[in-house]
Amino acid sequence: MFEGFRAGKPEALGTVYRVYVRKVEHLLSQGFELRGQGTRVSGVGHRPDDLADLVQEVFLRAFSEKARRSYDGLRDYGPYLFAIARNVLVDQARAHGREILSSQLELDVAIEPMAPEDAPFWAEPATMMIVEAYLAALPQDMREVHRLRYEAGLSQEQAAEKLGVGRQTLRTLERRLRDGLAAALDEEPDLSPTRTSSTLRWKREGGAP
Amino acid sequence: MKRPLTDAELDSLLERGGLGATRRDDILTKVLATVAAQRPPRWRRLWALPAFGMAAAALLLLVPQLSPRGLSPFRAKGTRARPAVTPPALHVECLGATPEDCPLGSLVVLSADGVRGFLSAWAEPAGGGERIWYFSAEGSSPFLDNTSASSAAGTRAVKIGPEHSVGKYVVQARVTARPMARDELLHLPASAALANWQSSITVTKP
Repeated sequence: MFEGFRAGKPEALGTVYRVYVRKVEHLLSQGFELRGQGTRVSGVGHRPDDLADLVQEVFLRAFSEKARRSYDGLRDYGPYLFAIARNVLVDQARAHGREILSSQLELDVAIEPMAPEDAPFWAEPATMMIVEAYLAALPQDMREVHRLRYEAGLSQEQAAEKLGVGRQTLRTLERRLRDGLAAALDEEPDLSPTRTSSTLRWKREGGAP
Repeated sequence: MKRPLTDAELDSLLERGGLGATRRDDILTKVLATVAAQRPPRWRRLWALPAFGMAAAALLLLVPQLSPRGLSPFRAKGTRARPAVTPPALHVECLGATPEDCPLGSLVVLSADGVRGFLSAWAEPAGGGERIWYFSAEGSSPFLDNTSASSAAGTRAVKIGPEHSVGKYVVQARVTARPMARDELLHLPASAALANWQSSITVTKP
């Protein structure tokens, strides 16, 4: 596995990616604090486009040949990867005109732990209730699709294999999951936004989140 | 006027706030494509071994003939001669195909060498039509730090998605000292960018 990773084998990189991608997303969404600085480097929240760009950036850096070669396989890979993620977030803050710190070394030692896992607020409560109700009412087979793909984070190939179906069938089931949720949100009449929520604005106001 | 949620937004809701399975798969595909594009082809790696050996042998033959300080007597007087500087270069590659025949759905990899700054890129349909933006301050303007040819930070991939039509596109790319908005980029004098490139791809049916 380690040799495959260092050689840039897709299977090894894919495995590492799936183990860590959610934690990286979480860090990039939440941001982090600089110890003793009183400075918080903001995350991108749950704006999917920004988050996707940054996640891609983190793994491009982490999987570059130079970065792969410089990982010795002895240390835990998580902190190494999260340091890259923090640097990406700082670069983004700087690109938007926010000066954070000038020294890379200083940054590496100045990190406070991330915000706790149970803190994220990802949508309006009304939207969350609809989503939860929709998921709770799913038939068993669709619930399993949701569990494997959206909770366990398996790839399409892995999930299809577990379900004993082909990838095309899985894609059809995922389409049905999304369409069902869209219909459930459309049917709900009381979704007027009460505060700024990017998730809700996508649907109710239109325009870019 | 409200618009329907995109698949990415629905995925995010289904996952209770994450990126969603489909988008996560897309990111991995792009990352792996970029990593693959950075690996030299097998034939080049195989050729590199004897080439390295020959270069080492040549060096051994030449070393005794150099002056004691290792400098040519014909070098420029005054300061030491500077090493040759490679001008910035951009390579456009359509993975699994060629830029002249790049099917819809392909990944196009932009690789920049010898330059450090923020990448912007867009495609203009050669026959006229809507401009397609790949990178700019409005979306993302990745920071390239590829002053050495082997660094991954100098490579980005974009998917030739459904916003493209079949036909020829002129791809414009700029590297600038800060992220730039689309309007700025379209009116940016060539001298104001750290590097400018123009290339072309022809999008074909899958």
